Amino acid sequence: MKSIIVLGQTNVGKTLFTLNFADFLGMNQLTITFQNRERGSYSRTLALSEAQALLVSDNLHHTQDIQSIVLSLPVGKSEKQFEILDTAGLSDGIHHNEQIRKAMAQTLRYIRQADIVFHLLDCKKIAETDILRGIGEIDYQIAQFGQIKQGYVILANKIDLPNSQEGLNKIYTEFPGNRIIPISAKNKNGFKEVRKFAKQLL
Amino acid sequence: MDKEHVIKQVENGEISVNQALSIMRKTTNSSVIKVGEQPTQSDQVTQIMRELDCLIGLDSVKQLINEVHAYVEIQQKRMSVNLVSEPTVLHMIFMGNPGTGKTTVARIIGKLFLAMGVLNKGHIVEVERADLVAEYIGQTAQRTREQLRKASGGVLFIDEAYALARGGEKDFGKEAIDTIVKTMEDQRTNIIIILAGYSKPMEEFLQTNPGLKSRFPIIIKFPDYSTFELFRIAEMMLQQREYQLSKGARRKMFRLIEELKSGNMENFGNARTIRNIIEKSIRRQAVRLVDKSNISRTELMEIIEEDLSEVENI
Repeated sequence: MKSIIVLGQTNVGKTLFTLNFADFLGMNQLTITFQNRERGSYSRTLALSEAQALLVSDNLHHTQDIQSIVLSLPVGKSEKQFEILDTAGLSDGIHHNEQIRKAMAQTLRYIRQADIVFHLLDCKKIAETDILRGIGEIDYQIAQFGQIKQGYVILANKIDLPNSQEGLNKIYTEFPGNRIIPISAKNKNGFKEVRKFAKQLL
Repeated sequence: MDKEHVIKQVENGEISVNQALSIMRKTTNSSVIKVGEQPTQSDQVTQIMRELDCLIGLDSVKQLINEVHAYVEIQQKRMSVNLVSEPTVLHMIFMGNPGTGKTTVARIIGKLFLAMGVLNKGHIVEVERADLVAEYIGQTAQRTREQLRKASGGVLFIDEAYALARGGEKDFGKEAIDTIVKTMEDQRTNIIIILAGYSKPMEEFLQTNPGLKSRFPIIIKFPDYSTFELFRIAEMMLQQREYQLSKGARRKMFRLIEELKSGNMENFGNARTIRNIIEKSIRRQAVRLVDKSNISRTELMEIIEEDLSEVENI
């Protein structure tokens, strides 16, 4: 089974994207496997609304376990199963909180194994803060890492918010030569294209 | 380095996520490259490829060089088991604005093909029109042959190659081109010729000399660096000289690069402009500190915002 890893800075919308993308692909109930560092892995089946309430938050570094969901896509006449890994956000430098460092380390463990990278960027944040903070060095590194993967795409998120267009333009100039899909994880804009992209690679 | 070890270091807060990612990426890459008969040769090649990999940006260029490297290697392997192997024509065309890394990459190519046994010296001879074209009839061929002889066993790097076609049919530049092409046919191996220059006149040059395109099968385009890449180049250059930017200077440098990039691109020399800025700021810092007593080590290393004022007018 191929795996897609969702990467990005903290609070860029990785979890919301993952859950809503699962919903978009027609999953009513999600069986989510959590890879917890202390408790090992355990699964839980949740309705979408429950999952959203539980897992999505405005707080930074909310996601600290790798959360994986098995999804399927119709390819030709059959269904192709794949795994989507929602990860803890990465950030530049050394984080002072040990829990968060451990969560990031966990993300690094999974980066190697994944076949496809979905890299989320926050258009609004990039438009409103200066480029050094909006796009981190980490983002350029993820982009470089993506080049050695089977598939790599930038999902320019939060296009539903005002000012996001400016951020989107910056993304286009900073990451030339990469596939960039503008999306709104909240309103599920651009998901068709994401599905098409995934389909080609699975 | 072991991957789990790297990740443990992140957990313990010993290295940043950035450092970990770059280590992980490099170790992944090197496993792709290692091939080759004799260990010494492949070690050298791996090291050169790593040197290439350490250049900032230039992703498409790196990929192409990787392809060329793999192609040559496989052709050599095929030859060793008596399979039909394509003759390796490795003459190249480099297109891109000034300061985008053309000469640097040409140097690496010389070293790479030396290590792979394609060239026996691997040095680079940089020439331009004036080094090839003479004033009087009959002398151009001689002068061009002289340069070709000097470059034999290495790389002949012809900068602003389109200048050779500038004068039209009667110009001696054409004689230089003809001499080069003839040498390429007589001496098929042990020299790599690179025609370099700005993208647009280069395209025109190739269109007016259709025979050249097939003789220079490898075309590499050098894109302009992005703002962030230029910023990292600046940081790297300072690091090599054992200087560093203060917090304020970092911001200032970034703004400066953004301004330069959004301004008139014609006069903007990419990494070369950045180098000039850095050298100027280092001189500024020296002037600022020279009359001070008790200068600390940090002060000696640090470039502050003030050192970067008006450095762009170079």
